[in-house]
Amino acid sequence: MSFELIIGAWVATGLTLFIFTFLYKDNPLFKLAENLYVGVSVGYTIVKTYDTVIVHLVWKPIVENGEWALLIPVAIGMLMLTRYVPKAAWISRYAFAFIVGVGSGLAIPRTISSFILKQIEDTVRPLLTLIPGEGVTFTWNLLNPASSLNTIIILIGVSSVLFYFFFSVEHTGPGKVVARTGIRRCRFGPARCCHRHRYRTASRYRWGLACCCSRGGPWPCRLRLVYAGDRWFLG
Amino acid sequence: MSFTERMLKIDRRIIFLVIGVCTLVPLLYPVGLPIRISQEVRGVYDHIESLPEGSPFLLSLDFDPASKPELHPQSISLLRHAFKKNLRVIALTLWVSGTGMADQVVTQVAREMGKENGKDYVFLGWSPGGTAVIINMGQDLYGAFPADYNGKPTKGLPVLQGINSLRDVSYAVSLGAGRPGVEEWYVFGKDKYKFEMGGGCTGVMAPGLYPLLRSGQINGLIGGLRGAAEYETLMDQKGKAIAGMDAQSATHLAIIVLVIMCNLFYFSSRNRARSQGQAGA
Repeated sequence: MSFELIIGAWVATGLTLFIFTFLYKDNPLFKLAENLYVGVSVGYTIVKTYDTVIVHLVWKPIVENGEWALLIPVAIGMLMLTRYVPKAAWISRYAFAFIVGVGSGLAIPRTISSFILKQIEDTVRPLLTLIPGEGVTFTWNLLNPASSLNTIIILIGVSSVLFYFFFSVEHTGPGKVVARTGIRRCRFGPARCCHRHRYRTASRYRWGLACCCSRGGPWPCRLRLVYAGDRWFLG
Repeated sequence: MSFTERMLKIDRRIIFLVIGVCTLVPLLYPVGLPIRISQEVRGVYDHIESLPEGSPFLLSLDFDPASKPELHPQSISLLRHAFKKNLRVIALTLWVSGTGMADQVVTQVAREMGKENGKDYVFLGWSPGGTAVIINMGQDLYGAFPADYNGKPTKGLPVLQGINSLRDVSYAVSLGAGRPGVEEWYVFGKDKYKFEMGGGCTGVMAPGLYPLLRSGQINGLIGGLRGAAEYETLMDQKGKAIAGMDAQSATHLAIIVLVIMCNLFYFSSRNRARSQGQAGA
């Protein structure tokens, strides 16, 4: 084993332990490791970006290969820097307009296709299946995602959740029943909710186990099963 | 102060210590808990298994050292599988902070499997733009990456023979720890350029990718350390993921026990407070 590898392993182990000392309390060793971590990662990113973008994708192709067309994207990029000069800041709008336009043009059709059309395609399935020789059948298997019973559950779930978030109509009478079904359906997906909201709203979904764990604090005060009104919460 | 009240106000450092012990002990003395293979992981494995020798396999290592414990074992298993099947491996990363680590893992596994850089595999490195890189690769691979990580021109590399864009890739897997990652590879890659794709992600991201999996938009998903352990089991090669599963299971068990205990203590103290209140009234 090389000397550099051994030294590297010791440094990595030491810094990891320094970070863990925060679990006891804030201390200078933790601050040292924390600042080193931030400094090294930012330094690495800056150096890597400079080398890849400025040197290999801009400087070398222009100087060595004479690809002068590259000056156009460079100029657009430079326009952004005018934000730092108040009198010339308006020029940066051209660069931003270009980037927003290109970005939207690329992203909107693809996102609609991938996350709306394809997902609708998967959600809207036939209620009854036609099997050759058996005729029209209704499958009850809950474990099969494509079964007819699951199709009905998905249909009720999607419709009621969409209705819950439709605020133009007051949720009273039958509408209240549908909306309550929708919000109950939402609670079946706590993990997804937690993920989507980056754990910040986990307590809102009454399922913030991971969130509470990561926050530290006295656990018994944070993790408990609570009966509030008409339902149980783990929060 | 009663026992239950003392337990409800327990010093959090004791709980950290319990978690630390539950992590360390199984790592030192592995139990070897059984690992059941899920359909999601099998989807990726079976597809790679079905590819003919020499097929181009694209692996995008879209993570940085922060997600190394979960995604590094996945990348090792996938690379071993691809090299074992003699696929042509095209590796890259969309995360600048993960470039060095990605190069290290690709080089290490290739050396271990006796593969030659440029002939059996290539590490393209990182290129700025995120999703724009995927689109660029879909139009012209050599335009997106004129040179590989070591500065060697990509045009003319034997490993890239017959590959001009993403359309020529047989199978792609993105191991993503965020954005850009699996979703971006699907939206700007597979959906546009029509190649088969699987994914790998951290455990916390997996539920968010299930809609893509269920609708068939991706054909398999390796989720977190558990997914990596399943892949190692399929490969019949015990690695860091299988070793880590015991520790993860032990800490999960400790958390469940702590949750149950604190609920018991909470209800016990509440009942006592109520009964004392009634007695006082």
